[in-house]
Amino acid sequence: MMKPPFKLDERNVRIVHTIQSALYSITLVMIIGIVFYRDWALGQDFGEYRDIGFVLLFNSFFVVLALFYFGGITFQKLKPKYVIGVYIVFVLLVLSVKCIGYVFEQGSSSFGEMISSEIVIVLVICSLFTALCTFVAYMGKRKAEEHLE
Amino acid sequence: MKDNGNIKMKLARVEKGLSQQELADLVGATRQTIGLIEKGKYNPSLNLCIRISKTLGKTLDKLFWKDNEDDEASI
Repeated sequence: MMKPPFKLDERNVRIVHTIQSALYSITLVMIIGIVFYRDWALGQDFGEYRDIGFVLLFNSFFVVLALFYFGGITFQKLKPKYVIGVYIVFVLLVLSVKCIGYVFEQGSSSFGEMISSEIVIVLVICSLFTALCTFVAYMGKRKAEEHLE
Repeated sequence: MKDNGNIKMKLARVEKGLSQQELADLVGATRQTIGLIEKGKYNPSLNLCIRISKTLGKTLDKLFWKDNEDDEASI
């Protein structure tokens, strides 16, 4: 019987996964760089890189939700203080991106105006995303506990 | 301290009269993986350890248990 030209065992699969995840992270960081460059350096409108934006958005959402669902981020108990913590992290992350954007755009509006006009949108989106993450984390925890039983 | 790898597994394999390639075929791994396990450069999964133990007719602890401090330090 002819032997297959190559064979994948657990070590090969582990190496492939390590390379894939490293390249995935690099690709994601590069796409983020492209979006920031287009937005801040070239001053393009969102419409001009909407496709890249959606790919990035989908990927980021998928990664965070998958981490919660499959137990990459595990909570012993889903306490309100953890949920609030996650919410604060999301808000700070989005606001810091906005602030960096402001440094590049400079002068389109005052910093205070920019924050006050967008803070409501940021808080609402972060609340929705935190609620989704909490739900997904709860489902993931329930699934893991079903396996335990 | 120099790591001697998994000498117990190598001895058990030779005792059975198997080459690395033959053992690899029997447990569904590659020859390189078996070589690396014997050198102590790769930590196999529990499933692969069990398959190797069964194939070589030894218990898990006889093949993979490190019983002195020097061995543990090299893990």
